[in-house]
Amino acid sequence: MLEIFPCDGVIAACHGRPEALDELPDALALVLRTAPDEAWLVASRSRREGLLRSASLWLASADPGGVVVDQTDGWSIYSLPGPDGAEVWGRISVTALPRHRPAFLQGALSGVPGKALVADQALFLFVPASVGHHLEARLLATCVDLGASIGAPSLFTFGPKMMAETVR
Amino acid sequence: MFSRSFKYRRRRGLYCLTGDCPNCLVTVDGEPAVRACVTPARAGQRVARRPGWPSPDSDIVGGIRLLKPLLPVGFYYKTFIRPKWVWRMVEPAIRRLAGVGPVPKDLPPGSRERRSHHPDVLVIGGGVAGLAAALTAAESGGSVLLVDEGRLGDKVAPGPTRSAIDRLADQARAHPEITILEVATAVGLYEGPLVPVNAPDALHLVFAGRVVVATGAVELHAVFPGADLPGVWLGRGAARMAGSHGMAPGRVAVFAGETDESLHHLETIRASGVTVAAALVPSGLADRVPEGVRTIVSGRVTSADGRRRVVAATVESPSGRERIACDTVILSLGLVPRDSLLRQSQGSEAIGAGDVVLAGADLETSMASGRSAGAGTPGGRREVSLPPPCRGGFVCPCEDVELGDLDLAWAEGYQSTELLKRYSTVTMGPCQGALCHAHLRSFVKARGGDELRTGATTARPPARPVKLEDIAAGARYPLEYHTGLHERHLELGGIMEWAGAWKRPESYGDPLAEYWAVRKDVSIMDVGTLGKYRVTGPDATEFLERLYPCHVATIAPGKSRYAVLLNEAGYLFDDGMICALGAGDYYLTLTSGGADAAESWLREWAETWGLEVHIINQTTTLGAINVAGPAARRLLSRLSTDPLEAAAFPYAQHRRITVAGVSCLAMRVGFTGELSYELHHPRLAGRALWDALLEAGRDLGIRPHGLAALRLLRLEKAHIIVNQDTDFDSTPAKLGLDWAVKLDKPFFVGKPALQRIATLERQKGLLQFTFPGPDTPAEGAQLLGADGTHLGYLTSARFSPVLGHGVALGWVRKHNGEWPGTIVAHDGGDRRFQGTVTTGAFYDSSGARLRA
Repeated sequence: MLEIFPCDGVIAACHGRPEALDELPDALALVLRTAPDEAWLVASRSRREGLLRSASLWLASADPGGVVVDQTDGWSIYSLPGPDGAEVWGRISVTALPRHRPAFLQGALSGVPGKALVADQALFLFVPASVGHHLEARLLATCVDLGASIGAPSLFTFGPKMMAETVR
Repeated sequence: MFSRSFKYRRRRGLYCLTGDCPNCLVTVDGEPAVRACVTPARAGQRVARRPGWPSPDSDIVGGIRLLKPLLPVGFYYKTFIRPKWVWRMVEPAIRRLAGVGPVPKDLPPGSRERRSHHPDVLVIGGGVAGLAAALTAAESGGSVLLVDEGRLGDKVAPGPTRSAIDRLADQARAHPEITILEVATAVGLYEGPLVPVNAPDALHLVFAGRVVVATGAVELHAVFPGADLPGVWLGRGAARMAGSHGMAPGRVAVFAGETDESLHHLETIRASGVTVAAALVPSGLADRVPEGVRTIVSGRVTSADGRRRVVAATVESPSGRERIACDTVILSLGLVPRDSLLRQSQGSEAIGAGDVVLAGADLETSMASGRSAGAGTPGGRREVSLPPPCRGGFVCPCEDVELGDLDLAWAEGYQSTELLKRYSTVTMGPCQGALCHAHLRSFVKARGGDELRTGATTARPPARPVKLEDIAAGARYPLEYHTGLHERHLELGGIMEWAGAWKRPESYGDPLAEYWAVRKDVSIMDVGTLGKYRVTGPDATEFLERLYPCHVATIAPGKSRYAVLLNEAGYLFDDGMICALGAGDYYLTLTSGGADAAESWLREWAETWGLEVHIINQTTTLGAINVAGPAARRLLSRLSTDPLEAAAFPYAQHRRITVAGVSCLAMRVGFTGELSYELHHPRLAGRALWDALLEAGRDLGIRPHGLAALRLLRLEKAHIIVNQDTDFDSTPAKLGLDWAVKLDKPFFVGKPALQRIATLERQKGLLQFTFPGPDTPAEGAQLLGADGTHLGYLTSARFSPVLGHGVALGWVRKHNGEWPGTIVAHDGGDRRFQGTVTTGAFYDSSGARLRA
């Protein structure tokens, strides 16, 4: 059975000079480098206020021209725990799945612009909230033979090993 | 008889049984052109032959061959030309008669999905060479995907080759690095390399590091009179029928074999109970023909005789010519590489292995070739000699092209393989030349064709027939963008329509009432589809100054300005608001349909200029609700303690306010022409905010409005909608938006072009029109001058309830150097409308209402 869990996460998008973002401390949250001048800090929704505050404080000193924007509402996050991540990936993306874990990828997911975080035991998918329903429908359709179903919303969580391994 | 041919509806029987020839095409469950020999049977399948009249067995249309003088090769260019109406008359009949079966129209929608794979090595073909290649590649640690269009070994008759395949297949199945896709057809080899593989479960897109093509070889197709009669078999097909399926291909056979393999076939066929009347073999094989079989050394079949099926074969040999009674002719005359995929690779991205490069190689040589290819090294190639020129019969069984057709085409000047292919359609049928390509080349060579003219024709995907449904696998799902209020709109009875990529409410059932709610009371609209961008950074002001034709630096924090975006040619392609949030910090709105393109534009210029600016897309992060109507302020004041009166929060300004507990960036805007507050809020708070507004405004006559009402409201203000009222060459001046352009700025994108255009007299413009009475011309109506001269067309037109007459916008050009004062709108039939050109907003031209 493949369960797809909508995740409540917080996304603090840090926009700044590349060299400043290179120094983003891993301790803040999981760091996903989405562009040379943009990095996402992703954590559980329960940390929303604190993360935005601490990220803003840090960036204000590292790059006064930078800005932290709360993009939490703009993205739908899904986690697909279990060993089927690679199988699911081949059904929603034409991009090669790197062999190393964790891996961060950006590109089309079922035809919509998205991002993915690939861990050993879970696959996390990020798509704009305006098309979250589309990804859900496509996952259910294309993974019907895997017994795909949508699970109850859960908090975005990340293992300590992954937290330690910043994905850049 | 298994099927009928494409053009002449000749009777056809089973022939190759390897998925190459067109003879077993049948209709399965309503789907035509299915190759029966490679399609697994299952209970309940409805299989039908091509329909004929009065029956598939006795189709009188088969007599069409008597009309051959009317249907010569290239007849499209020769017959039914004059008078012209003849072609119109015969074309439908030809289309009905030709083909391989009717296209189904009532099949349920397909649900094909697609999957992608990224193996280190893709091996196409699961014969001995392919399996050896897969095992070798996997042993070196790479991931391997092996695909075969049948079940492994299924198409091979029992014998040493089949045994080797079974053994290697077991090893491959047990190998952890090898994935096997069976009943999966490689459709083509594209740059990348990308190989689409069509399988029952899905269309597999294979992006492989390396590709090994081990598609084997097909037995040489026989070309002589009667070779297409039911009862004529290729050796592998007959042996498969006898050995794998336990069915004798006939009762009495004439057998012709040229290869070692053919002797295995002979044994298998005899074992099934077929009496071999004669075996035609070269002298080197003669002593290996089983005892009791009459052997004719160095003989060949010159014709298969019979009307509905084979009744005899005519044989020539050094000892003379004779007619041998039989019901079956089995031909095993050599191998031709099944190399369409390999030729598609242009030799650069794929390595051939086995018969496809070494046709007729023995088992050990094939395996060695596979191992070499699996390791990434080509394992040799052998040029295959062309068959002897044929002396009559069907060269191309797919397209019913006869030798005489090629002769005629040659005589008409089509004297190369490529030209003959195009003119006669030889090699262009379902087998894509697998059977006839070698004969085509032999034909040209026999007539003195040089290497260039005799060369192989260009191979292009698809190598095997593929359905449109398969091509569209996984790509037919319309992508709808939804705002955070989508479900709420549905609950309220919203009638949704496409607006670019978004689904938006056209109305909630009563667009007129929605319109009046805005004009008289208060209404809300979901405008979350607007492009919403934060532009910030040390160079943000400089960036926007260069980009927009209006002044940006003069927008004080808290103020907003309507602005247009121009391309280098000075043509308008988007518009929206610029809100100054603080020093070097701006919030932009862009049109719903154009935001993506405009964002690319912004990013391209930011990179081009090397400015330090951050362009942050907040389109999906933020929702937006427009609260519009005379009672808008009264409504908001019930939900907010922030100052909202005009003195504190005037038109064209914005404030951070809290409404129903939701922090909003509120903008005083005027698209509807009424007092309006556009509330930009966190997306997830949208529903609570929307519901609070509806609840609080219940006694104020609130109701939501959709696009239908909005289109009318904005038209009464003569506000344009980009891409509806604009054209590809719409300058601000043509649109009456000169005021939005400040040519005194040192630079902005489009300025040089606008300066040049300004020196020219304007000939065309978007004008405003009024039409008396309730009847209004349709959008798109053509505009005529008083003398009937065509002057332009309407882009927007509506009856204005509040004004009591029609209002419209339209493109008009000058006539005799003058702008028209009146026009006639003609929207088809007898409908003509007298219109008057006006200026300024139709409704509330002073803007008092929106500035209230």
